[in-house]
Amino acid sequence: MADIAKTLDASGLACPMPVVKTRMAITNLDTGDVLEVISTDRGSCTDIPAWTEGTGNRLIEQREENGSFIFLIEKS
Amino acid sequence: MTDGLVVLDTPSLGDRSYLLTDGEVGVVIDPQRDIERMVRAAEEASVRITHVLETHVHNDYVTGGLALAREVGASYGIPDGETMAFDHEVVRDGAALVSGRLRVVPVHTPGHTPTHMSYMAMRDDEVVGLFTGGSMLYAAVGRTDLISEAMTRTLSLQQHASVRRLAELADGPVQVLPTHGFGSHCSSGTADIIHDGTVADERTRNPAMLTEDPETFADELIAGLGPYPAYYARMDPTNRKGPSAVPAELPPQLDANDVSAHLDKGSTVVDLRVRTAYAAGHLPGSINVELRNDLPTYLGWVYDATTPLVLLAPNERDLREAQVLLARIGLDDVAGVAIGPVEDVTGPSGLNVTRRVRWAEVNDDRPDDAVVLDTRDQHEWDSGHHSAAIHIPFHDVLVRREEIPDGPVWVYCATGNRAAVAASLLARDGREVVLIDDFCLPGDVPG
Repeated sequence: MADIAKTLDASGLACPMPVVKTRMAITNLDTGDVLEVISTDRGSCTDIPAWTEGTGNRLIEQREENGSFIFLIEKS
Repeated sequence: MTDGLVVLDTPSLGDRSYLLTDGEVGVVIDPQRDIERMVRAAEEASVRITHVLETHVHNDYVTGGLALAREVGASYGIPDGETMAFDHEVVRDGAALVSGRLRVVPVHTPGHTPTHMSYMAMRDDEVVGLFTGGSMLYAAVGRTDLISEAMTRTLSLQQHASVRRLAELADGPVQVLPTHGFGSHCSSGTADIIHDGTVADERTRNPAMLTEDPETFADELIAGLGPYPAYYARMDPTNRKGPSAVPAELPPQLDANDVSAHLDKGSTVVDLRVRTAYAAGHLPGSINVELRNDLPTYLGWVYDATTPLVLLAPNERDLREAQVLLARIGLDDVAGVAIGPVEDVTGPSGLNVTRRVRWAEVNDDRPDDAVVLDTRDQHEWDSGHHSAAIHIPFHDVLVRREEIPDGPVWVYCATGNRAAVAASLLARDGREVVLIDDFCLPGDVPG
């Protein structure tokens, strides 16, 4: 389990806000830091992997838990 | 959060419903149409629901109020002054409703609607929460333009007074418990979401409290109102008829011939798969609205419910989820469904493929006659956009089709989600489309 440097709770937010907030949250982290993102929008399962791939960050874990979608992103 | 309070979130609509209990009985505020969630919550709390209350006749969803009240044998209260097609209790300002140790005092708070009622809830004479519906929201107020353009200003002025009345009524650490404001377009501000707050918090952050002058407040509120989904217009009449609960059965299952017949006669055939799968192969004439929290808002915005609705889903779980999401906004008259791989219902014309590109291809490889179309909201467009783009929000691409010059249409939005909807609508309309499946977040200028 990776050490989580920061958690972003994007619960309740609709597209595109989970991605907008993820981008804001990750800018303040250092390379190698892990950001945890919690979203209740299942669309995040499409958008967040696409965003990490497009920006060169690394999606190290993705899971569903009690109706929420959780992503661990390592900043590159 | 208050003891004995169950909060049910409906993130696909940005709304909340509540169950307040005293350990034996419960009062429900603004239930959604999938009532089994509320029935289960009452069972888990071991309480009997005695009252179901509406803060207002809703404009953004089909209520579960009547169905729930009938299911559990509770009374169903609706604010004074509303005409409904069924028997109900009339809730009057100041006329307290008592159940067990709970006492709920209706407070007339016009603004979101003319008859809007908030509820001050007490348990053993202690104020435990203020159910504010579409009146006082977290750092916002309910929008005031859903009834009519002519009434918007009056309602805005009333909203100012209503929020202030609520703040006077229960000052300090009392929980504010609104229905709207969690992404619902019924809120007047939707960019960010606050999950809780007290009356004291609202005194320091609610625009109706911060702006002293009612006229100035009304000016600012009206100036800041964005668009709302087209389906809202159908909710008020539906709610007055007394809607049933979400249908328990799946719609009829269709085979390839049935689906082809629907496409031929102009039915709206919605492919619920993710846009990458849809782009890789889809039925010509189908439209793509992904099964995600936006589904009811987006489909409810582009589908006017005048043609039969057919849903295509890869599996039964997705189909059932879509059925619940859509029933919440009254789209429960689904003519048929097809479950499984799209190849199973492919007709004689085969499958179409939509080209997907990223920004590098847009900027380096697009033909001279390509039209770059930005389908985001106005405020997103204003924050930055592609230098070659024209702008039409996704829900207006057909209405404003004449504004799109000839040539292949290269469509984008913030993430690709709305663009996929718009591209599929334009393709069905006979345009050649390319889906820009890439990001254009606020402030970005992608080329």
